Amino acid sequence: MVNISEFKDKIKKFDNRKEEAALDKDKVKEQHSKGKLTAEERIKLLVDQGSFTELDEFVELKSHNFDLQERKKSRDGVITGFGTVNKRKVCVYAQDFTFMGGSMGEMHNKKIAKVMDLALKTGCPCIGLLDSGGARIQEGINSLDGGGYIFKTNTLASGVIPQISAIMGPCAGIAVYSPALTDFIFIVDKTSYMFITGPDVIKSVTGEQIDSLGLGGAKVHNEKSGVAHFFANDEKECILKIKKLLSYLPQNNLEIPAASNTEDDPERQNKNIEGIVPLDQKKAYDVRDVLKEVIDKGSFFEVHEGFAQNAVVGFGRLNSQAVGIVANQPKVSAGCLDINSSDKISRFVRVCDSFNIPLVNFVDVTGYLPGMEQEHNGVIRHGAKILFAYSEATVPKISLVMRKAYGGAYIAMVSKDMGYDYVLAWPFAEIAVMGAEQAVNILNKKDSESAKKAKVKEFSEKFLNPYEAAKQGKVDAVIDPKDTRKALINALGMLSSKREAVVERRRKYKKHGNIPA
Amino acid sequence: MAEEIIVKINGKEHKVNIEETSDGKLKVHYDNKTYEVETKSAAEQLINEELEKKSGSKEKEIRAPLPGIVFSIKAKAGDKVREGDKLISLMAMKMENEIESPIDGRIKEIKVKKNTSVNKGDLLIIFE
Repeated sequence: MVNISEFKDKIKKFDNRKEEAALDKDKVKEQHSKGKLTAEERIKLLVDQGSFTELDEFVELKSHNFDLQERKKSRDGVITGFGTVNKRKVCVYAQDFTFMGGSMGEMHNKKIAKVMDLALKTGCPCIGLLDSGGARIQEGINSLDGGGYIFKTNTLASGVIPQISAIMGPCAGIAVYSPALTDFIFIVDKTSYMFITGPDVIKSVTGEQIDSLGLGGAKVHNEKSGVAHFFANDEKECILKIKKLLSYLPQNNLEIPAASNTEDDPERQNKNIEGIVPLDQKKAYDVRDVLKEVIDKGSFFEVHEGFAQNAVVGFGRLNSQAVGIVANQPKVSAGCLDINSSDKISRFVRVCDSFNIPLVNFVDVTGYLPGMEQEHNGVIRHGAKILFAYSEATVPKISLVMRKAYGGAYIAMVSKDMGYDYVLAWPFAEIAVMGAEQAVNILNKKDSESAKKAKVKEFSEKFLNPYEAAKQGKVDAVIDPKDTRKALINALGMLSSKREAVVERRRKYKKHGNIPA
Repeated sequence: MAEEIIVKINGKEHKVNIEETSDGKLKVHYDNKTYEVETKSAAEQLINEELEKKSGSKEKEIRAPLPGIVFSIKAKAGDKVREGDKLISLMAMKMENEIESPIDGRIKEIKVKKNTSVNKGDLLIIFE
């Protein structure tokens, strides 16, 4: 026989427990006064209405150190669960700053790793909304080990599911390393910062005086360190941008990104290019104008916009299909490759390769930046990352030489022998080892000035065109700039079924390559 | 405990008492009147200070973004310039790199001459 009153009693106790898990109202007010939303509100903004299912709501801390048992609360300072974003499955965790400053205790960390593991098993993106002061000091080494569990799960999930981190408050100490292991970091301006050691420690150790935002705010990580990939003015913008990013990514490494109908004519001619790209090779232009002219209207979504601006990388669509775009930016430092742009490009290429997003290069570059500063800081090992990333990538790789492709930069961004599937060039492209004057100065050092001039002319005529490369099959096609869009879409269509069986098989027999990190 | 401060304004002494209420606000007793004052949280203060610093600390100089040769100088000391104005053209990586003014302001000094080579980070222009 069912005992109705006992049944009701159990349900009441359950309801009470749920109430206890709710956020502390005063603390919520405090969170709002800082211009920050709560963990619950953030998740609500991110997922489709009514789609969220919470996990581990009753998990609480275990430690008996200090006064922790009196302070413990259900959830242990992080909400985890799953839901949908634009009808696609995602796993989410959001740290709750109102509970012990979002500090990462043993169980808090286990909850995060557990939901990441669920995302990995089920093949869906995992999104972390971070707001934490770092390790929960009272829990000692258990809080650190839990961090290790998260980092390991991040690493195992890397290249299998898209992992996205949004910094929406402090993110200090061990809290920074999980985001750093994920594919993309967003950071909200003014309220958020990331650093390993804070201003107080820095002051006591090195004497340098700096505040939190100056040390690791949104601008710093978007423009200087390159730690963050996206800048957001506020939390709402941040979450909208996360949703937009997800639209270019597949659910996991076994899927391709969903097409999104852009309704842009695949045969549309690019007549505006002649007004954008100067024929005088010495004159600069904004390569974004070319990208926007060629790809589907309104589809460009730039990644790492503020960092290493001599290269432009981002997602876009061609005939509604997602592509990863890598371009030299002649407007900034002549679009040269250097340490930072090498890091930026190689990381982006690897993200695209992991998630089956074809790569399209827009090339106009004279080479790697010379100088002691670059050499001493290791431009060799950083520059090598680009070679490694492209050589290893098995997605369709298309390269368009717009104006210049010289020397090492030619190899990195154009070379058929290094594995580009399809190379296009505009009729005024210059594909050579170096510029004419530099070449003549090396080859004909002792000649008179007038003799050199003649040699420069000879060199220019012989090498500074796309036809010398086309003659040898190193350029697949020379095209009229106005047909660029059509040609790229055509090439992507052909390459959409590309398989690199040899490379893929070889990969099974080795653990992994050794990228010059 | 409220602390009493004596403030002298135009030779006249005023008594000021400051008291902290339970909800974090301040009660300021000034002579016989009482004012309730709200203070900003540390985070808000930090944000405001940061914003002020940003608007106050505009760049006062331009440094070479990459090594090259000064190809042309399009401004002189004393010139009033606007943000985005092209000031120096630096020939580097076989291209003319236009160096634009980061601010609206007046040029104090141009530290380089035409046809000289500069290293990355060398000072090019100082603003007033």
